[in-house]
Amino acid sequence: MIKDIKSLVRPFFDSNRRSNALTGRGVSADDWGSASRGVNYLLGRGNQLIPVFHQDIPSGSSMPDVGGFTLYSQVMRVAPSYSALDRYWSFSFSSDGAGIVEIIVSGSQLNQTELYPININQTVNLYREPVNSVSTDVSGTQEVRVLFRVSSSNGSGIIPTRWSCFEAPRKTLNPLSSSTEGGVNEGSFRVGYPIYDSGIDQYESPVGVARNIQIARKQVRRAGLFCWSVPLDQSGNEFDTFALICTSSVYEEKLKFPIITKPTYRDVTSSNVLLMWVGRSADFRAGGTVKFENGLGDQIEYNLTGVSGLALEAWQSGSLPVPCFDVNHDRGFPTGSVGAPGFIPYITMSMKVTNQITAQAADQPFKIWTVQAFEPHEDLLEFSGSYTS
Amino acid sequence: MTFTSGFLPNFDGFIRFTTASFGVSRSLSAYSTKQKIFHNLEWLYGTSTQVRINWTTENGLKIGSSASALIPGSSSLLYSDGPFLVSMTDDGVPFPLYVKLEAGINSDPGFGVTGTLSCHLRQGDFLNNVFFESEVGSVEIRGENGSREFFELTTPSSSLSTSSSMLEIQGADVKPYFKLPVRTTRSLATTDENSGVVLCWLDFYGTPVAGSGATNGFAIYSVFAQEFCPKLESL
Repeated sequence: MIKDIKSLVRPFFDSNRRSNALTGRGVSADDWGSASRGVNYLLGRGNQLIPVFHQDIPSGSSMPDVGGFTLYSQVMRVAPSYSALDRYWSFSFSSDGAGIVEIIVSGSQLNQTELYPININQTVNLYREPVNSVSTDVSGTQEVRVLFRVSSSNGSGIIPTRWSCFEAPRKTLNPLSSSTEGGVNEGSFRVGYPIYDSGIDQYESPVGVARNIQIARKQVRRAGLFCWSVPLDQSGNEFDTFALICTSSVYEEKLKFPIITKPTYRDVTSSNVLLMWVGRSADFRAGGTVKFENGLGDQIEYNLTGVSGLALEAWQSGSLPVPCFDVNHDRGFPTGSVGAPGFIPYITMSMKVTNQITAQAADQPFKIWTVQAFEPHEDLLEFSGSYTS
Repeated sequence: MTFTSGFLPNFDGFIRFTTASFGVSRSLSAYSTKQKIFHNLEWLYGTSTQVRINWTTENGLKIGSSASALIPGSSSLLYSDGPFLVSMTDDGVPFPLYVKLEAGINSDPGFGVTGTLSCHLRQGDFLNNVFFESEVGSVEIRGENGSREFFELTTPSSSLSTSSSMLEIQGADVKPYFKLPVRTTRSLATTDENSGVVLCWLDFYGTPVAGSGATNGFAIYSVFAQEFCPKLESL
């Protein structure tokens, strides 16, 4: 039955024809073909892994210097889809003087660019990162480390000011290339063709559409909701200049960012946000506590015990409900007591030093370098039963 | 394709497909099964809109200071966000994005300013060839030294909110989003396996009134842009 296993990904969502699925009547091959194009679009379009974010780093700030080069790194996480072949990174830099910046993502050089004295926020272009393999942990995310190697006539005058990352949309999907590729052969929807064909149900027939919708449910999400990240040294160890640093034994508000989640079901009013952050407590005798609040009275608190050395702690994560948009609202805003027109939910992050053995909190600061928010991924339901009839 | 004020379908939950769900005929007659497939497809599309911009800085992005003065009465490009990719819809259909701009007057002495802040959408391809640009909103700002005012851009007319929190929007006429007239012209392909995409930038322009901007400026504290959830009822 296989004629062509290339599944085209169109540039926009095909018209869905739910109204043509009627009780007691068959759904035409043309309508199933429409559904196949719709699910191919969802699987192939790619997600915004890191929304555009602006680093609050003033031009001319002191950066880590190693052997005459400015070397620093930033660590963050992305929630990838399994079908993406390329990611695109966009960086903007500010520069007080001419120089060259080399960008290395997860060990591979993306680009080496010569910069000239510029004002703030020069977009340096897009850099393609081939995605050879995707390995995620239980959170559905993976760590990405970006290393900047800067040679500048003005010392540390070149610093990144803004960046983002998104997955390039696919032209085609090849469902036979891997078990996670997905894709439906829209050519398999013709009059007289079976609704199920043993052995090729992954990518043909209405069963293939159903299966790929399930795959899409895991892949298609608001992958990156928020990202805040500042430089570490070249080895990924602490560098204090731009970190969120707390020396207080009472909570200090450090970040406040908007979040709009999607409803899991029509009638729910909030959905969980996956929060991840990385930091350290600067003294093994001390620790820190980070608190996230949703503005509605819900909060989560996490304690971090101090360790020796300069290395960051392992990634911490937590989950917090946030009002989701209301599908009945004509603009898709959240509703409720706080849902006046224009209301956009937010999350506030606070920090404090804990477990002090002395009162000298300034000697035992609690620091954070990256804070991110993701939509949690859905568990992928597997098919049950067989299709041999 | 037309977007209306209809509702997204209810999410039915994903079913486990069995042989019995589909039967063996060549046309599915099981209403619940086939309807759920189409429901779930719509739901995924409607709820998977992406967050394209989301940043907040404590100190504010200060633009136009004594070191880089704005020219009173003239419009100056203050700041650009992007490039970011926008999911395409059918040709010519507006694709709304939430754009919440928090801007104000920095507390630094001498940073007060009076003028207009406007937002433009620019579209281009991977080679940054811009083929479309339009203004999507503007707002008048009035600042005093030592104060910080929050507002959001509205279109077509301006609206000023002076709430103490960026999340409290006042006024019945506030339209807390833009409808960006994104076109869907397919752009250059990147590789054989990747689709060409349209990239967008949001450019912010400031126009101080005479006498206010020579030594002062604007400060932007937050920009948030998320694709709107489309209503699919009438597809």
